Amino acid sequence: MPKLNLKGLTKRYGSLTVVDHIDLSLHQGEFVSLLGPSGCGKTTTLRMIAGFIDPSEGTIEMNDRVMSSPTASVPPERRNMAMIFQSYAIWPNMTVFDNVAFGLRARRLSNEEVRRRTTELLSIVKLDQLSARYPSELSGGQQQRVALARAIVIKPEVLLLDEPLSNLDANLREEMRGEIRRLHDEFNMTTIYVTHDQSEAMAISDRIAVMNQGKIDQLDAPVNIYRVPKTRFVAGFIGRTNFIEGRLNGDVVSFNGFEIARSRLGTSSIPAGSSTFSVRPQSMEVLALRPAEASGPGIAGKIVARTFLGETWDYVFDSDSGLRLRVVSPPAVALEIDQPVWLRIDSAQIVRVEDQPAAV
Amino acid sequence: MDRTCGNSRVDSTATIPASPAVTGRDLRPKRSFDPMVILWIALALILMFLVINPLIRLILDSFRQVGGSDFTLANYITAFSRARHIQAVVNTLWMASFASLIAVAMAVPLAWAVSRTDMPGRAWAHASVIAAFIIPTFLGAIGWMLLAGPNAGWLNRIFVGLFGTEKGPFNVFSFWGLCFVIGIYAFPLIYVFTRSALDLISTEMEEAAAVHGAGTLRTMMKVTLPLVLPAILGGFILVFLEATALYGTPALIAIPARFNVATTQLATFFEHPLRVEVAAAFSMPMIGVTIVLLWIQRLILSNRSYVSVSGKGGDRRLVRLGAWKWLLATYALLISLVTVLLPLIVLLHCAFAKAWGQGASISNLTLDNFHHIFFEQLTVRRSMWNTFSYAAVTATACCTLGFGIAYIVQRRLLPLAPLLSFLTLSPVIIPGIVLAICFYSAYAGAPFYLYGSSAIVIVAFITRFLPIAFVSVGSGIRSINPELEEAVRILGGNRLMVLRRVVAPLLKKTLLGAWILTFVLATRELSTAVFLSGPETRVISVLTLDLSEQGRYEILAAMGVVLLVVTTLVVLAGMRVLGRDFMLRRT
Repeated sequence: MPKLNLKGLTKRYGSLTVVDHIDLSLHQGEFVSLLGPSGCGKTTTLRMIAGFIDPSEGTIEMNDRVMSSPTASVPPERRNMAMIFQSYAIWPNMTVFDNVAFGLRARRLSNEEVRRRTTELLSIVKLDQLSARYPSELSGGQQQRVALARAIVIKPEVLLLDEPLSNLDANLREEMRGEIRRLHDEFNMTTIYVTHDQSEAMAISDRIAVMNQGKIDQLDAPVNIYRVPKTRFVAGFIGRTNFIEGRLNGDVVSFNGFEIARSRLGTSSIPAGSSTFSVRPQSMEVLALRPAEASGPGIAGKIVARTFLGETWDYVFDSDSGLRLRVVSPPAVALEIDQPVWLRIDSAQIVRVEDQPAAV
Repeated sequence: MDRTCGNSRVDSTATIPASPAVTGRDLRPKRSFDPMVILWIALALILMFLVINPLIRLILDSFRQVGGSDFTLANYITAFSRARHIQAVVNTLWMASFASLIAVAMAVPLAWAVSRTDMPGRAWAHASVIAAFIIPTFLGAIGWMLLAGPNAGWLNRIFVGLFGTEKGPFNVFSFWGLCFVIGIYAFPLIYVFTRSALDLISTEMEEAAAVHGAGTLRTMMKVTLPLVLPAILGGFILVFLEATALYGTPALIAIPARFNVATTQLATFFEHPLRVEVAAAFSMPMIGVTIVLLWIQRLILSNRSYVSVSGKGGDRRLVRLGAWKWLLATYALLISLVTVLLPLIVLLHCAFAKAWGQGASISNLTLDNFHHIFFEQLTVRRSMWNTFSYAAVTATACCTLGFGIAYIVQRRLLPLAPLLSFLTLSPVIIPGIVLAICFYSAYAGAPFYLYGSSAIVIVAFITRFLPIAFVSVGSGIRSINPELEEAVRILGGNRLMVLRRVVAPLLKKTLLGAWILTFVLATRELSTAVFLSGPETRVISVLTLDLSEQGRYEILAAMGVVLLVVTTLVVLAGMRVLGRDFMLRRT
């Protein structure tokens, strides 16, 4: 039984379709991220799950019960969910303790029970020393912990997070990311995490739903999203990549200046005719000498631009046949501009991508 | 990942017993019946009563035969065919123009000096603007009548004493006197506009001019002034409108000086024989002018291209004026003398004097005037009680309604919210004295018969100040992140809990500020009350006109002092809670 199930979920504002027939189901304890650029509908989806917005079409079910549908909805306060907001939404007029205790009090637990649970959770997020403080006296990271504690203390059926780390600086962001995942694992909460930051989604999720123009382009484990992106959009949004055109002729795909046997490519389903392929800069190597034939195609060309980024070299490679590719090399591989070089591609990392998201 | 939570680990098998289990009952079908619809209808009815009906009645009355019910254009002909009626309108336009220019001449240098320069006494200059803002215009006018009355006025007597001339040169009962008195009590508005624009301009823009070789004067003329010009124009238009709509000061000054402006002309239609219909016709151009000017003002202020401002940018370097600063300080001192100190001194003297013309001597000192207004003259006591109780009811109603509508509009709780907002704001296009005619037309006679009741005055006041309360509460609500309210909902609280636990506590100060502002404005409201208050429902402002006509300045001054003391106490209390400038905030 899925914990949470979105079926054909759609939201329209007038003629504008913000969320377009989304299907998504989470099992108990799963951590799924909705990842996409701003305006892709991820926050609207989250707010529909929370019950702040009613869908135009489709349903949201939790524990096999309908929560939202176009005709009837359970109000947010009766869904037993919790949400962490981009602004944290810590109530400035209440102390840390009162903020965290709020959900328990709304559920009319005994004072003693409220005190016990609140204190317990405050110590888990290491805020027990600050329980009498007001939010204005806390740092950003501490406020984030209050928001976390406040959400988790009610043991929600589903925990929703709306870009919770976007207001923190880089170091704190990494720390809080770990904290969120730790708490998730500890309480085994079903979690939906909305973000536009791909590395954040990669690091924290069991599965990622990459959203584009109201649709889910791909729903998969982070490593698969990176290695086998399904669409041109996903390949371009997750990390950097090169797009090259290839044409299937029998059992061989011919690219501009080289050919690879279909069986050696990273994707098996390649339609006849011309297709787009994605090649990560990291899946190629530039060499000063011609490589051995067995290790993949060697393409002759030269370096036209380079940038040293400390941890890597960033090269722009032009093949003699007129193909331009971006390649990443370790710092030791220093090549000069205009130097003739050979490019070797790991053919298993060339994957075909759909130009348009698949029709549902 | 850090898993060493040790003994602090929560027993995750424990469940929360009282957590609201979702049942079939919770699944709320929509559109069957929404209780919000009732709220919508209630609000629509209230706004209908407060805004739409009075305005429609005004328009209808303007086309109705005097004392009859036939459709006619005669009222417009009567209103605009007499030369003296036209003259009154022309007088109004000149008066409002000159008064606004005087206000600009006072406000702009002062705002620049306080915001930008090293003029000595900036804090004190700012405080005196607040004081000028607190003094009701009709009391200021009385003060100036005592100061610059043609013979007995203090300034004239001092002048005669000093120079031995036969007569002093000052005469407040003149066109220029009127412009002057209106201008000096309108300038705080332009000051506020200019000052807040100046405060937003990064000093880096001026430094950039200086780096490129411009001197202080050139920088000011070429960089600073153009940047704040839209704000000055915006303030100018508001002051102009206020001056055209003002009734009190013209009634005190223009009538004895034997000329009319539009508002005093309007009032003549309310004398015997009563011709409300002509008054309605006569007031149409005033509404038209207001609409056009407010539209222009919006256009000027919404043209954001001039706001090359990015909040308060870094260090604020003050312009060093050198010796000029003393000249500017003298100007500031003069402004505070003219607007606050002199009128206050003569009013206080008059309130404690047996006869105001007899000068400041111990033998002339008395408390009788106060004894008189509190214990003997029941009309005065009554009017003071009316003033403060009406103002309190008005302020409370405006804040409640303003909050309700603003909250609904901003959280989009009801359909057609923009329409509610438009209706709530629409009274700003109606000058106070015209609003009085509207309410007279709508509710004085059948079927309501509210003339002479407190209700009609209070309801008119509520309509008049609702936009102000709505806007200031609305900006408070806007500053509350909706996520704070959504957090309540998702954690198990209903809408009521949202209001009680989050919105109310966070909006406390805003509401208090709006209440005080509305209260203070309502205590001094004259033009809206003038045709609506009967013998039992006089307020201080209306009684001021009567007492002034009777020449009973000592009683009048004592009453004015009471009004000033109460206002000042309320404002000071507000300042303690809300900060010094809460009344001056630009909304």
